[in-house]
Amino acid sequence: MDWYSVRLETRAPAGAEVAIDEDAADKLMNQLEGYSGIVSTGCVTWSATISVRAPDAARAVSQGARIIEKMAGNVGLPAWPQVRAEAVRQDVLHQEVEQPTLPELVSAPEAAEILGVSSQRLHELARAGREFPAPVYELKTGRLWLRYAIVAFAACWDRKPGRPEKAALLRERVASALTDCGITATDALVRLTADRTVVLEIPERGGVPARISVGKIIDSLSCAGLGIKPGGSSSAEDLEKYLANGHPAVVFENAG
Amino acid sequence: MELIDNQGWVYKLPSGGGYPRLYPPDKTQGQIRVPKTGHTRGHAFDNWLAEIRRKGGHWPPGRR
Repeated sequence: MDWYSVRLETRAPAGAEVAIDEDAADKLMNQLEGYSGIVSTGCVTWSATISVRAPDAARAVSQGARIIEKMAGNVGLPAWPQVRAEAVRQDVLHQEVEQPTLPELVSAPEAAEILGVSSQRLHELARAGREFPAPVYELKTGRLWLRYAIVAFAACWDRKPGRPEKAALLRERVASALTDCGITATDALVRLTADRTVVLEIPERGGVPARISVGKIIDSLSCAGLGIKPGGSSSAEDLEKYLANGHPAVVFENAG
Repeated sequence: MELIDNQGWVYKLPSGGGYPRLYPPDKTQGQIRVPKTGHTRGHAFDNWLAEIRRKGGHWPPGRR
């Protein structure tokens, strides 16, 4: 025989007059005190949880429900349909209520600390890695990851020795600079071409040039020490218009 | 108490006597009676915590 926590939940049938007698609910709470009882009431529902000793969960549910029904009837609570009846062994319930309901989350700097890398490197990993966990939240203040997901990634992350090639680093630097200014992949695409050139393109949105964000993009790159010029042998007097019309531009590191 | 200070729950003692009640911020979740033995660990406390969590209360409290 073990102790079981048994919960019975009732709900008013559709169309029923729904007025719980709170005094009756208090009386039920009183009656169930010897069973470690808890009573809850709502607009269209009342429920009670008690603890009983039983050989198994199935019999605990049956026994507990009978006790609650009888006591509820004694105090005048409505005999509404039972919509839920469940039992959990008391020690199992105790373990469950000890576990946090909210998952542990980490911000980018905290995730970087767990991985032993810089924040910039974290953004590179997050952008490049198919295996890197996706954030569970993307807020205006930044991204949040599940701590255990970052820890799990750290455990099996195959850190490659040596510095990544210069072009890949530049690409990540561009992407990082844009992200830090709130510019997402839908605003600007950054890619590495076969000849290891970093190219930026502004995708069109329904045929409307994205002029509004182009200036911000150019400014963001400039702040990060990066320049931008038309791709191939093109030239453009108005770089913003050139980009806004969807033409690819090459990103380079400013000298000095 | 964490629920009341930080999660928007309300604790009320009914004017006509009876068990104190905890009201979650989500009004659709109804109210939970506070057991007389609710502040000591035991079956009643765990039953009560389980009900609080069911109605949206976060326990134990999150990281500060």
